[in-house]
Amino acid sequence: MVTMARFGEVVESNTNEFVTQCYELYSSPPLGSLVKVGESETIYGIVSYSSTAGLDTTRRPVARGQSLESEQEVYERHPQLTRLLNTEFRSHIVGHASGLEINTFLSPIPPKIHSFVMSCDREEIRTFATSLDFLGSVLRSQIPQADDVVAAFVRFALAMLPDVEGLKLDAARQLASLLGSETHRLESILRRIR
Amino acid sequence: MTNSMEATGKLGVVVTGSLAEGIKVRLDAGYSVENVKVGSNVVIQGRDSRFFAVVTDIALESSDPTMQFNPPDVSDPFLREALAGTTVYGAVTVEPMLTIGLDPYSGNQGPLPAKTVPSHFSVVSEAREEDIHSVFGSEADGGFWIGSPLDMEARLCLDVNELVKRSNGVFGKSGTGKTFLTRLLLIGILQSGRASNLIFDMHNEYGWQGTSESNHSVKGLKQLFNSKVSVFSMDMESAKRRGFSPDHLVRFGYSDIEPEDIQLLRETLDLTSVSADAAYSLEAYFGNRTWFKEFVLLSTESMNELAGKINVNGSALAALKRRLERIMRFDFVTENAVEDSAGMIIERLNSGQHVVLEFGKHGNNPTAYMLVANILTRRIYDRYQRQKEAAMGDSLREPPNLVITIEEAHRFLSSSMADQTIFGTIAREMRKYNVTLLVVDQRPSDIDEEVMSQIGTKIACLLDSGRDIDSVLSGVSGGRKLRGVLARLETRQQALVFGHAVPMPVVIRTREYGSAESYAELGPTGNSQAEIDKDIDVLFGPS
Repeated sequence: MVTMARFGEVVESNTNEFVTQCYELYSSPPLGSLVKVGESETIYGIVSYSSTAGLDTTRRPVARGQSLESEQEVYERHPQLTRLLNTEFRSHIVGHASGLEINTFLSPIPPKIHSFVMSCDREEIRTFATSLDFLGSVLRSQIPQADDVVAAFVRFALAMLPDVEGLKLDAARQLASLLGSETHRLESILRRIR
Repeated sequence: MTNSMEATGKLGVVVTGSLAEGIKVRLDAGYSVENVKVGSNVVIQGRDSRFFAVVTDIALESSDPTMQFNPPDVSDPFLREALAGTTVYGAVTVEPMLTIGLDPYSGNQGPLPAKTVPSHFSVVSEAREEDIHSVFGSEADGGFWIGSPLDMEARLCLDVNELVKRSNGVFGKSGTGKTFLTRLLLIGILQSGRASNLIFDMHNEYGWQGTSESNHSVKGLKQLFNSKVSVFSMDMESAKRRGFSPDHLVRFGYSDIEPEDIQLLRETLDLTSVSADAAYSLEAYFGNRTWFKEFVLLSTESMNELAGKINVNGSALAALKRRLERIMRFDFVTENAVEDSAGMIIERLNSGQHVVLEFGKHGNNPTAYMLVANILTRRIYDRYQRQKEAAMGDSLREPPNLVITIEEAHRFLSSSMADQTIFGTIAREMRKYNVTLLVVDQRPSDIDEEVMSQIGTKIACLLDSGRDIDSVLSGVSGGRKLRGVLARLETRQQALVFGHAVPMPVVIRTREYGSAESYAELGPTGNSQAEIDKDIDVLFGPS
């Protein structure tokens, strides 16, 4: 059983994607992870982008470590940094739960601001990993590096479900069906999964 | 990656196609294209009926048209596996041949020719043994087990009743198993008791014993059926050398030879048409049955005189005489026949026996073979015609069905001959007089087109020449698609069967012949139902 972790809260949302502000600096889940949001109505997304910047967009961070030994020391000497800097990640919505059933397509309404964003349990990951049709929407989306996101999700699923037999080949085949006429794009994605 | 798909026998689904061009089936990812063979049988489960179809073409397809110009790096097995069955896949074209309705009413009608196509995404599976039996019947229904469909162990049966009603043909290159197949067909007819056989056994393969391609000796009809089969021989020496004594030695008299025989032998005797036609003038002059004797014994002077009398060119007549002397030199032709060999053969056939006529050393001489076959067949045909006419529909008095087997049939049935020889007549008039042919030949393209079109069931082994293939497949629906099947048969033990005795064209692996078990199954089956019925009719009159 995967221990459920809470990453942060939704700070921006629409029906395609939502942006999560992390509670802690640099605590964004890895690219391609499946996350969920909401308590009563759960919406699922795949982490497609993450970034760290100053909270105040008008003030750029300045270099501070010229005389210091390690990067670690920079943060130890300037504890305010963990408050002034902020990590955010973007999640591409891939499904939602209505009642007990999980649908691998868009939710009719976007997540609410301040909804908690959490990791998913094994069964939820399995549901998405064995029905990869939703990746079609990721592949067709305007997300930069959509292919990397797709490959990252498959790697994430393989890592979380090491005991599911044939998952890798099934995923590769579903991708091949989705990318029927784009063999070279498929080839480059599969090379990242291998 | 042969997995559960192949275990369940599911090949794939129907994706496109037409009745004219065949149905295209996309193979399932788990089914290897290399396991599908052209000519094998498949069953398509449509919505309202089941279709029985034959694989006519196999193709490699891809959903990415650019891939063939710039193929991916397939050294990676993972990539190869992912692409197989998804981006690249196997597709087979199948020809729907028969439909079997799924509702109980049409189920009773048996298979019908396919007049429509299965709907999209109908599931296509390999044919199973039950499917083969439901389409081709089984031995229990009176069929004769001739072989098995490709890659299957099911017993595929021919309908012997249909077989003997029409003339049939066995075609194939030399060494492809024509003789084996013919022997099996003859055994099938013998077992069923539906007809008598007369076999002109050119190479001494059918009567006592024959040899397989691997030079083992195999039993002939006499060894299997003993008292039901009489072996007549034209060469006692040859029979003795092979260690058996034939039932009879065949001899013909000069009086048995007719001008029609000379016409048939025109090519082998190298006669001009004028010389050959002179035989008719001689017959008119000397009289039927005596012309040959009178003519060949003429002196040169009297012959010149005769040429003037019957108005035939002298040198043409001289040429005819020289060639007829070749016939006189045959040891089976004597001035006065002591006994009527033809009559004896007919008598045996009439009593339900089967006759094999072995040629011994004469088998290598086309002149001898054609002469004897023609003389005998003509007399048999005359006799049958008279008997049949005398019977006037009284089935009890009708002569029994007779199947005459001839090898090297193109010599008798070529376009130039078919109009003149008795074999052409039999092939065309077919079953009117209860006499049909079993034609065995390696050059079907040399056989007259009209004769070929009258052949009921054709069994074709491997043929290479395009002309031969065309000639065998002429007039068969879907013949164009069967070309590929016919040209790709294995050199031995495989044949394409189509025509009246089977509901649809089918490729078979000929059943094994030559082992003790095969002899046990191929021997006499006791009194066949047909014989029992006939005996009852004779005793108590027709019911």
